[in-house]
Amino acid sequence: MHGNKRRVAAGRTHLQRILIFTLIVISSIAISGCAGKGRRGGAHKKLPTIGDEGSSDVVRPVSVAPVGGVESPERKASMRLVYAGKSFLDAHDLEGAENSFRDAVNVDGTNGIAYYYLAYVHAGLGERDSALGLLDKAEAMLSENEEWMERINGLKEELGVKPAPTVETYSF
Amino acid sequence: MSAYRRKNKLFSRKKKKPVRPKRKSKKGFKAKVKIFWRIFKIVCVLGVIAILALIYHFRGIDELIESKFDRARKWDLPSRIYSDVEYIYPGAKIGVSGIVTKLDRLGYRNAGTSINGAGEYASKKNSIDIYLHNFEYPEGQFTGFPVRISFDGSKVLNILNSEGGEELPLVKLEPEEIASVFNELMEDRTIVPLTDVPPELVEAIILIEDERFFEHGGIDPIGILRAAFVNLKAMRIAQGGSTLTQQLVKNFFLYPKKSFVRKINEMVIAYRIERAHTKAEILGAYLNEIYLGQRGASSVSGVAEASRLYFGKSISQLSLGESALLAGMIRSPHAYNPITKPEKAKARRDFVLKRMLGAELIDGAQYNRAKSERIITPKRRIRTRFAPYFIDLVKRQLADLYPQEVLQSEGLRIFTTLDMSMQIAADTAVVDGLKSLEKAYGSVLPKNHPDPLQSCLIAVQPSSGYVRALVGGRDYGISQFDRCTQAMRQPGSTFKPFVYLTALDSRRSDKQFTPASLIDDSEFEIESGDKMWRPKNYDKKDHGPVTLRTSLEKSYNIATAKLALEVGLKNVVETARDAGIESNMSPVPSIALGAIEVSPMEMASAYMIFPNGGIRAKPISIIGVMTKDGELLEKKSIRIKRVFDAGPIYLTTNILKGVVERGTGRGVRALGFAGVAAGKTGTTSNYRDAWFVGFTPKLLALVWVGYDDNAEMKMSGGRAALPLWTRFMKKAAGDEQGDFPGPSDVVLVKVNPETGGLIDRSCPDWIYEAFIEGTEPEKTCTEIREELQLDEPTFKEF
Repeated sequence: MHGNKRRVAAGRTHLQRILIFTLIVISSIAISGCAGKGRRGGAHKKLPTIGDEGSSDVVRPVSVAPVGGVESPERKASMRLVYAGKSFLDAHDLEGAENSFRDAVNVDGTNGIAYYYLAYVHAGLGERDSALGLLDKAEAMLSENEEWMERINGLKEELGVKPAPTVETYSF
Repeated sequence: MSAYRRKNKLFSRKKKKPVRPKRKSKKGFKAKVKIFWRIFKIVCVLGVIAILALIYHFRGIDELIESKFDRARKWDLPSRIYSDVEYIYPGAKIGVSGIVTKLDRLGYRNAGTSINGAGEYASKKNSIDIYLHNFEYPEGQFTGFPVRISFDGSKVLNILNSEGGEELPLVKLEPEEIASVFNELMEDRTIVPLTDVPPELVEAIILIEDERFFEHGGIDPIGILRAAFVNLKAMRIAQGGSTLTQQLVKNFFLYPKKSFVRKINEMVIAYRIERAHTKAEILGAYLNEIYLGQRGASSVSGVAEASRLYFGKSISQLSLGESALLAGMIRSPHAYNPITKPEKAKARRDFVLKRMLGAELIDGAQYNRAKSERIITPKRRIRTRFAPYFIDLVKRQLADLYPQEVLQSEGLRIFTTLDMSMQIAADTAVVDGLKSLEKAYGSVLPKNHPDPLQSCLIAVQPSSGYVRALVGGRDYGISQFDRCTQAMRQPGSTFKPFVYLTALDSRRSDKQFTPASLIDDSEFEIESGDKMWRPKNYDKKDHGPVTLRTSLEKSYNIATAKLALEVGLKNVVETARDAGIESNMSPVPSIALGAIEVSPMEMASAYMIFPNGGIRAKPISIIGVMTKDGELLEKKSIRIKRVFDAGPIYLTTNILKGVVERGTGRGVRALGFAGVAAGKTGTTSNYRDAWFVGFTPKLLALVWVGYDDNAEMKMSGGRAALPLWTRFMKKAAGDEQGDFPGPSDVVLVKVNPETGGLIDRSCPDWIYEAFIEGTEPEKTCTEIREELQLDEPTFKEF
């Protein structure tokens, strides 16, 4: 008898847990939906991109880094230079690495990864301002890639900057 | 007393006092001794003076030798300025002819069908073999190797290492030497140690120029006699009697004009040098000193520099035949120049080879092989001066780092951001573009103006700030004034984007605007200083309520001035300042229309924020400075920083795309530029300045056209500057279709272009307008039209 009561009690608890979980999920979806309508905060509405818009009245512009996208010849060549630069980094040759990453940026000015590594080298060489500028550029190119954004923010934090960027008065 | 009687008296007096013969001879002898003694004393004094003078002269010579020859650095080495490197990779848009042009500029030699050594290339229809040069980069020495580049039309298909056969992801073509910084002697020289000179070249030189070099002490009497005999026999100067040491002395210490004094000095100095230095030291100096021709205005001195000039290779890579020719050229570099006189050069080489065979320096097989060698030289460089205004800019920047003397003597290697292909395209665009303008619009240009129409073209890479090309005027030979960096001109309407950027950025503007917001383009006036200021449109008309997009695309002055007043003039100044304009700016109403003075370089720099998504890049022209020994002295890093939010920048850029598609910059399309582009025209009051600043996602170029004395030219930016920009960009940027990246907080909404309202059935004309998410219009086009009491849509051209 006691055992049955316990099972019923346990069953109720389980049901309650499912209900609570369901409520949380629904509320989260609702909250995130509302957040999407805010001006700058939270996730943005999922919209087609220009070029694939069909008859949609609202679309998004082409995303970051389309000039020489991932499969472009420039990007491939640039990534080869990034790999070469990483080899220099592994050998603790910062100058060699810097030259390779700088060339990588030259070959493909939209390669955010090259900017990130160039920033990394500049940070290593103690050139903080320059590193932060390059991270700005990397961020602009890699803003849709969580993994890279984590790295960028990590490096920014190492340089003593809060991850959320602010526009400051600019001086060289 | 008459003269006759006086004479007679004199005679008679002599007769009156007869001298006995003995006594007479004793007296005469004494007089003679006295005279002799006097002469002797004079001679002695003169001798002592001469000896003292000679001692003084020799001391001077010794000092001269000590000060010039005995020191470790005997020569002032010019600093060399290089362009940026060029990468070739699969997919790169370059064909065989493009690569060949580049290789010719780099001094590679066309070897015909196959390559045998460094610095050679052999091209076929769809491939090219290149034996890459060695090159010392700031990051280290690159050792050349042979590669084969295959093409698919005008694109690189693949790159193979010809030695190992493996496919390469990319190859780097070394920077092009674009200028040297000389001292007043204008000697171009590359120092080479004796140990790096091929032995056969040294042997050939000694054999041809001074066979008894190791036997004499600076002067060779036997050689002089032999030369005299040969010359007498030939009845002309067929052979010189100067030793290598004397030749060295003549080139190193003395003036070129022949004279007896110079010859004596030459012998004396040669003798002194031989006593103080080893034969190896003298030979080493000779090989680096000897004159071997001209490269434009500069002389080519030393065998290493001559090897680069005539054979496009390092001295250590010379073949036997090339060594023989170089040795033979010393006698008369102009007459035996293999680039301009290949037949004479071949005959001279064969003569030297025959002498070498006769002297048993080479065997028969070597002789035959060397004699059958084809003399391959690099293509003759017609132009000897490249990017002179850019070089001047670099020199001015270097002057802040190093004294002129150091630049002229230390042989520094300066690596710059210049892209030679772009520079050539820029030169051509300016020269040909101005000629076309003068031909087409000669009637509107001022008559009998003393100076020609001038122009400036700057091309920068926004992602790095690298200055890729710079033309500061149409002819450097006539005017060295750099209109890109030294001229201060009114930017006119090219300033307007900074007004619109301020309006579209909620952080910077007193009032929020979108590209679809309406602004009244109706005449108004405002007090500015002590006067009333009344802006007028270019077409002298009012256009009523227009969207911000239309206002900027059509470059309406009244609407722009009103907008600037609404967003706050101080805010506009701050925006321009943050973008990179450093010149004086006052928050007065006319600033909205560009009534300030800026240098074209400042404007180009400020515009980089647009293709760069709000990140400012400082223009760079020098990447690094290296000593001749490979030590890095200076390194310039890319200097970039975010100064604007990406959203407002995208909105402004998107409108500037409209300028090119349908606004005042639509001539870009009419003239055949097909790639994605944005830009802005600019014309100042009375048509004194014509501007066009335009950019693709990868490249920004600015063109200014005008007269140095601010004369009116009756041509707008769209008519005068835009065609030059288009000429340049068609070559430099091609038809790249990649668009400007849009930030994630931007949406494109269909709106009616006339009213900026959402489309509905009554106004079907639409464009995708960019908005920061959350600022999209809420009213429809009909609602707005009703509010404004407009009747019919008027912008059918959208």
